[in-house]
Amino acid sequence: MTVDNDDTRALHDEVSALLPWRANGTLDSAQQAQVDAHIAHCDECRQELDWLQSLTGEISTQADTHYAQHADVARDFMQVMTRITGDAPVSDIRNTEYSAHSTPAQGDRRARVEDAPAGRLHRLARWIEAATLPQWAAVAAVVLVAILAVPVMMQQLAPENSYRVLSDPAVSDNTRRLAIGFADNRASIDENRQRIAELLADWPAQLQREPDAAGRLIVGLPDTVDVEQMSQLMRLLQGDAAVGSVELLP
Amino acid sequence: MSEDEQALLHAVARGDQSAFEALFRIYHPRVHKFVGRLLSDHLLVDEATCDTLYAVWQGATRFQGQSRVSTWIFGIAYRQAMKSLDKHSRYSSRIEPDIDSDALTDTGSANNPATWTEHTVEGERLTQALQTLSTEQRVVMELVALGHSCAEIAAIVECPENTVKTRTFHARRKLRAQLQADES
Repeated sequence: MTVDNDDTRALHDEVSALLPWRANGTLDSAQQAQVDAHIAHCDECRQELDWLQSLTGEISTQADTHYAQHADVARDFMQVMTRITGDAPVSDIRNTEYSAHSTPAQGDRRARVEDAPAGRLHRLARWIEAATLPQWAAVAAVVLVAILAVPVMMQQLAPENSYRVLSDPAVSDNTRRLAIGFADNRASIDENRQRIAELLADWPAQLQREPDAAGRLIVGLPDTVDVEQMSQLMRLLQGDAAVGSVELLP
Repeated sequence: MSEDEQALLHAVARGDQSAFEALFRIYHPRVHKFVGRLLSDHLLVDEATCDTLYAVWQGATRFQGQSRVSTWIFGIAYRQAMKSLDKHSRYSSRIEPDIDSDALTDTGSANNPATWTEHTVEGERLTQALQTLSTEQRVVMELVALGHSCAEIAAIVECPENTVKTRTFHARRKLRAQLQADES
């Protein structure tokens, strides 16, 4: 096709502007029909589309390669979780005061926190603080708050259950699992298991009996192992010569 | 997928860490790949990716469902990447090239298919050619390659769709010229 008049030129330019999205397949059906009708007889746009498909394909391939070489999803997840739980306990994050414009989800979040024992205690303390009371009443109120605080504190400080193992039917969905790959394919699974068992000797971890389909050993850890400890364990494993990869499973 | 992601994000808004982990695993590769082209330093890429996903946790309650989850998250990623570029400006330039209206009807070799000798794009040459683009041009080309529609890109970078088309047009022309020059 030759672009020989203003109307044709305008249509050509309009279609040309849409070609990147024809290449990535995100045009709506009307736009796609318009583009396809035009490129059926426009060599320039057809060639441009071929080139764009090659270009976006290569950009995408490069991004995949870069990600495979440089990214570490498990490490980054641990880092973000450390930030979430390190800046403030999650319960404190949930306890954020929200504005009157809060969404229903925000309201739920606040309601759940205020219904918690610590939240109710906090509100009582704030009420006493704000109220105008005689001195003896204020002292009595402080004593009352202290008495109420003891069971709440005990509840919060109570140790978690001792860790559970993978074979335990009571293992919760919150149990963390690590998949450990090995650097040396020639080593037997028993040798690998032995090495991992040595590394995990001081950890409340349970090794799965059989490796997964990729030959990785799966380690279960109870949810009493916090994010910082998990991060420390992953570094320990990654630092060992026998270990090729460590992945935190979803 | 989009409805599943909305459900995950609503669960994150309620403080569900498992939902956050699932969303994290979906978006970590996508965000990392997007900011990877904009920030030249691996550490900055990791940092911007983590900052974005941390902001998702913090801001999940503010998501009103007016856009797709991916558009909302990529909008955060874009702002994090721009913030990082501003902070570490020696790594890259954010200067927009002057828009030359005559260029839209330019019949030079980069715009003339008769002079094109091939339609495949090779890795290393492409990497170098992409570096000649402005940041905003690279952003739109990356988002096109990651499969975003024009409307989504406009929402992510907060500009009109026509601006997205103009940036893409100039990016294409510049890449074509650069790759042609490399050949000759």
